Amino acid sequence: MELTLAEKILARASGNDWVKPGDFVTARVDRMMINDMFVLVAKALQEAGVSELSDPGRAYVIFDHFVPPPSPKHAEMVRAALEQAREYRIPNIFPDAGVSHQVMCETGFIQPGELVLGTDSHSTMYGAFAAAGAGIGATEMAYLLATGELWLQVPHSVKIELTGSLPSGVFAKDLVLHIIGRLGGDYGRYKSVEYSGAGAAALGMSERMTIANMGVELGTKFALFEADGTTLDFLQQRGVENLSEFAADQKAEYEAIHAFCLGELSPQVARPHQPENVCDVGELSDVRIDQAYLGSCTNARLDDLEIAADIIRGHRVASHTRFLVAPASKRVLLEATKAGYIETLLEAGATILPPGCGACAGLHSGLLGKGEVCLSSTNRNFNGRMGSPEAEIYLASPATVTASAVTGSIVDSRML
Amino acid sequence: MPSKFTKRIQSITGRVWVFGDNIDTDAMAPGASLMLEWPERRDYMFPQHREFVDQMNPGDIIVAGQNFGCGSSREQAVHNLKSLGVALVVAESFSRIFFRNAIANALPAMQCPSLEPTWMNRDSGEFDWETSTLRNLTSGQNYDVQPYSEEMMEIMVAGGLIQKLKAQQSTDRL
Repeated sequence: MELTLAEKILARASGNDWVKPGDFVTARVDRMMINDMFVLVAKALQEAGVSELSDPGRAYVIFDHFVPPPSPKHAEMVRAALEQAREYRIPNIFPDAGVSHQVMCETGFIQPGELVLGTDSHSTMYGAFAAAGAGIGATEMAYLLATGELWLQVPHSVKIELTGSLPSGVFAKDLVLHIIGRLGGDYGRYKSVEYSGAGAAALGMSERMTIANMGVELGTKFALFEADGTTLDFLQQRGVENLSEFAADQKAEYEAIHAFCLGELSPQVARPHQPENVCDVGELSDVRIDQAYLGSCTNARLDDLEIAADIIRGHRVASHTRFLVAPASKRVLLEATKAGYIETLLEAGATILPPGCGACAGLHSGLLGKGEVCLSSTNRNFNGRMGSPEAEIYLASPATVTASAVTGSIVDSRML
Repeated sequence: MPSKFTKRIQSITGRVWVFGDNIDTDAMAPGASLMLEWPERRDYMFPQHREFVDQMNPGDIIVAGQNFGCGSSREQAVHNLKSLGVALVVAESFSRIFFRNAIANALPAMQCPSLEPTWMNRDSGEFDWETSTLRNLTSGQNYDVQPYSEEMMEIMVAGGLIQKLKAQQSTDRL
């Protein structure tokens, strides 16, 4: 049987030689990621009378939503979650290392061919490493931690062929926004999307992470890249050795194949209030912004901060605009500091925030008031997501966000 | 299609509330409300559909368009609907994470690709598990609803995934 990436992963996870789309399987999950929702997971475990997890070593507890805590109640909740994680003997606990998916990826915890479920929808990001990643709720995670396995339905696989290379000033975020704009936010329902072709192979790991991260905005179950030399180098640098490349079979069958030529792209922006409401940045003139936000697991890695520093160097943030920068992890913040990017951003008038989810999900540190407009490097712009339901959120690449912070309105970074 | 499970679960009848496409989970459970208790969370729900929150009664049914429950995996979205008393959600399509969360919490969420936008608020709806049919009792229209798999029905009939896990734990101890 010739299998797609998703089929290979689910076949192995369920102990089968092969599976086909539509099949229901019971899959043994390789790693489980739980964020601050661990309090809800612990509650469900206690309700079910579970005192021991099936394999605590496979769980990773990473707080990112409510750290640093925005209220005493949240502080108490986070403390309770920490104690509960220790009681359940989970060895991998990261109380404030940064955004969960970023920590999982940058540390080398995600390996090709794995099935990794997390209590956050951007778990699709693990697909950058050819690992099938998907978000589940707290109750399902409790079941999974207790038993080590979960029922899953095998999705239909769709191939997205990428050719060419991104022009200067155009980035992975622009590509994924373009794809979501073209195919629709509901396109990937019950599907697994696989990125392939020379264009995909030429993308670096950070770029693959941005694209896979926003797989959920395409509605997809998994968003996968092949694991090639680039993947293995990245992991080797993080001490993960003895890995093999991992790709779909040559004659695997796909429900559909779409092609995108990277060389034809221009900077894209998602307008309020859907990630699929995408247009060329050139179509937006005179959209004044009150806040520019550079953060989240989607786009706040070292390369994103380098791009921001290069654009803003010698300029100042517009007087009516707040430019907030929340690096995706402490590791990114440290490296960006050593490289001088943080200093450059500060000199330009940016505000540096603690690594974490923060305002991306309307949790804290940069919420929007009534009538405010924010241009953000994050992944969702639903009505009310970042605060007031009477605010507006536009999504774009770090380059677009940074250039717009300088001019105070949405602008193509190549104009600066 | 009748199964050993459909006979063990009551049909659902209630007053209907109509929603459009792409109703996201941030709307059902905004970020600021995530760690609050019920009923405080109720005040934050559905900022764009407050009439629904204020006027709905336990036992009411939601009928919606495409991609219901899209976005974040937050389970509070399902908890909030259940706490409000929503008895059933029928949508043209669901986001997969929400669909799974609903099943795990025994909130019936049924897919009906042939649903038409002809429903009106306060229509009366009835869902029958055995025939997997949704009836608009006000207009007389019937719709075929995609039945749950055996795996999904087992969870629903148990009262949710935690109840299933509890039962498994007891069996394991025997």
